[in-house]
Amino acid sequence: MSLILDGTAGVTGPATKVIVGTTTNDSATAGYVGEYVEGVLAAGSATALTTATPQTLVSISLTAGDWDVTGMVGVQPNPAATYSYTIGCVSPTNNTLNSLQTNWASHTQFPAGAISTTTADPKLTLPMVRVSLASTTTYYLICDAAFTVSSCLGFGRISARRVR
Amino acid sequence: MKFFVRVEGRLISYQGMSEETIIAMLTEQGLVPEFIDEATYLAELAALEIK
Repeated sequence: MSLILDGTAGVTGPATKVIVGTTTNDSATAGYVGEYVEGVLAAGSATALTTATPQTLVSISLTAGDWDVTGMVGVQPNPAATYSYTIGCVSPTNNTLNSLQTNWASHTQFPAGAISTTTADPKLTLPMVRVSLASTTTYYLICDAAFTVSSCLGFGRISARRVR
Repeated sequence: MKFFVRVEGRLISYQGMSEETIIAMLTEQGLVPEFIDEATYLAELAALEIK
């Protein structure tokens, strides 16, 4: 990514500065603003979930810096099951919901009865959270679903963008 | 650059991490990745979705 600051002094106003972005389909260099990291567990390869047990679907490794992290969690419900809840979040701990008080807002949840078992692959879109890291850290995409009949499957994506 | 991995029967794609980083990350989780090419990944995924 190239950074060009263009200062143009106006006659009566302050200088205008702009940051020029890429104009093609390349990727930002590691360590630069705009760096992108992603992990995807495809729907066709969804993994079996255990009821009421937070489970990692996929993870990414982030180097030190300031990142925006987000993702989506999808489930493939068993038509015979009823669901008490289905939660998705990003977490710094394997197989664990992000319980940091300031990040409770990072969870997205289907409440009881919200999942229609006749709908294919209902999905949760996770809110973006700031992740500020002093050293390389793994972040995990977590799904926690409570259901009455086994064979519920989960899949999803976790992604991060270095923002400064 | 993208990498495509088979891990315990699951098919995962990664972007923005090196092969060494992916191996180290998964090893910490007790997982052993098998790297595959994109054509194999897409073919296996298509076969799974047909089922």
